[in-house]
Amino acid sequence: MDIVNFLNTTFYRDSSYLVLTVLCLIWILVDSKCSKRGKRMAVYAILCYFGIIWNPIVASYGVVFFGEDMYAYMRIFYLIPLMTILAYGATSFYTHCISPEDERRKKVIYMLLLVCTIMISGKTYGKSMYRDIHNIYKIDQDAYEISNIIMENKGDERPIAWVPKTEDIWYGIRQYEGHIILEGDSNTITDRTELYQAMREHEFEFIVFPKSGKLCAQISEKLFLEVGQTENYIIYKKVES
Amino acid sequence: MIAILKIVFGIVCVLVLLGVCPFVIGVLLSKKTSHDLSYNFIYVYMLGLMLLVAVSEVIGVPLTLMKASFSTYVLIYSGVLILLMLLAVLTARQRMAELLKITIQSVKNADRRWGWILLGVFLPILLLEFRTTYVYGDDKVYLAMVNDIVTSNRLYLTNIETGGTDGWVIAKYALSSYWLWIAYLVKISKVHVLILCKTILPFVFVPLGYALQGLLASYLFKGEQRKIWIFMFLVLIFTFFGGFSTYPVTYRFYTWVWQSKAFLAIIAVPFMFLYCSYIYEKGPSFRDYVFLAIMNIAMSSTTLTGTGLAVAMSCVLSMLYAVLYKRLRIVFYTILTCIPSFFIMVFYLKYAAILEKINFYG
Repeated sequence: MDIVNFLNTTFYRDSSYLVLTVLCLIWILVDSKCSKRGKRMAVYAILCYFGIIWNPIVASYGVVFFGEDMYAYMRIFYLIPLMTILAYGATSFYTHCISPEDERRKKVIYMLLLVCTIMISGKTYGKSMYRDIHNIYKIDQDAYEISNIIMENKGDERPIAWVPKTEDIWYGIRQYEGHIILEGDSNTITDRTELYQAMREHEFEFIVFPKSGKLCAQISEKLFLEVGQTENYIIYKKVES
Repeated sequence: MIAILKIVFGIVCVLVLLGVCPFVIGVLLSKKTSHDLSYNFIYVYMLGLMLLVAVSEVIGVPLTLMKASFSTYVLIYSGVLILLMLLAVLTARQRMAELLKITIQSVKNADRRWGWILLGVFLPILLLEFRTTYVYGDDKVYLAMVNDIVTSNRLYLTNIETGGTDGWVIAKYALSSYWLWIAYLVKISKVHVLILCKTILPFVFVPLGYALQGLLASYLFKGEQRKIWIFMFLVLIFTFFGGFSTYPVTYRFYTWVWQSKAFLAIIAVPFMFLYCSYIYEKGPSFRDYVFLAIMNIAMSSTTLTGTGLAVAMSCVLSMLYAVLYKRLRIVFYTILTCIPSFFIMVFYLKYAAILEKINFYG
């Protein structure tokens, strides 16, 4: 039962969409004007909820198939055509209460009540789910410029680089430029000793440091040449000995 | 200027690959059925799209296990696509013209208030062109993976973290060809994967997702236009306010096309639900069962979740309709159509052993 509780609370969180779903399913089943097709859809959803999703025996075996990852198992909810059921139930309710001949004011009020109920019950995605874009590739601008600078100054077809292993920089470069091999995290290098050790132990052509770091001022031009800068980073290329 | 022309060329390629091809191939598949829906543009389009995705799975999985190059996949897939298109043009062009005529007439006769629905569908896409969904977790993996496939000309054998070479492929990538299919679109259109997925494809998949909801509405309300319009309006509202967790099928999914599970949830699963409900109600023919098997393969190509969902959905629906219409053979034949999915499930469970047997690691 723990699995079932987890699935339900993680899926629906603190929204009232579960309440709306139950109300819609009940309405679809009891309303005589709902078509048989709609009623079959409601019965199908109920069978899926109780037979598969909320069934502790099925859930415990199902999770095994997902490598014991309960978050991956959340996709079992795709079995339910949730938005279709909600919209169908709400439409059937609205058309039961409002006929085409009713006055416009009544139609608007009923629809507004429905829309407000949906808005209060649910949640939109917040600002944190969407970010501003700075280039046509919609990746971090520093990552975009670092990639271009490395490709403009590369010696090998597949240049090897050490870059800061942050989500924006590392994975921005990986998504944008597949030719660059990212071998190491330059954030782990904090002084010249560590830099020389990295040079001894690893082969790389480029290294990227944040401008705000102290290391940039310490880098010898005999070893590294600055080939470009972005707003927040400096890109160095190893000097061929 | 050249960059703009390149993008325009890419958009035209995407429109052909995702606009014309599925429709033409769908006409070929639907021409022998007597279903009412076989004169519905979206239904015919979806038949074609599911077949395209299923063909990608049938070609992509063996080539991945054979460690073939991406160019080989592109060549074979393009060849099959061209053959299917030629077959359709040679044998079903009259029906194609008829269907186009019916569709154009429906659009011309549509009520003005449908413009509000189209606004609700397209306005968020336009606004999101100037934003991007926050990249985390799997997002960066899949986009990097598609980029690597195109850049390296290898099928998955690239380390996603570093970009270096890998000697192995995990089961969920090897057995699901969705990212190969996206890489194919990137290769043919010559548009970068980031531009294709984050800018161009939302204009295809978001309207398609809503069109499928409209098709479901048409099926549920038996063509009553007023109710379908109200349904579509409410679907828009429910979708926008469904962001209470990251799991419901909400607006974030609609714009998340590089996530195969988004394609599964928005496109494949709703269509399978409609298809199964429709054929079981009418009484399925042999061709219907064959296409159901193809749908199983198409669902498997999105993710391994799709494999399980295809089996679960078709079996539950078949049992429901078998009891309602007292046609128990529906369950038996449906189980037979799930054989491709069972095969993939077994392959997944015995993946390591099979790779050893075929000497995948050299």
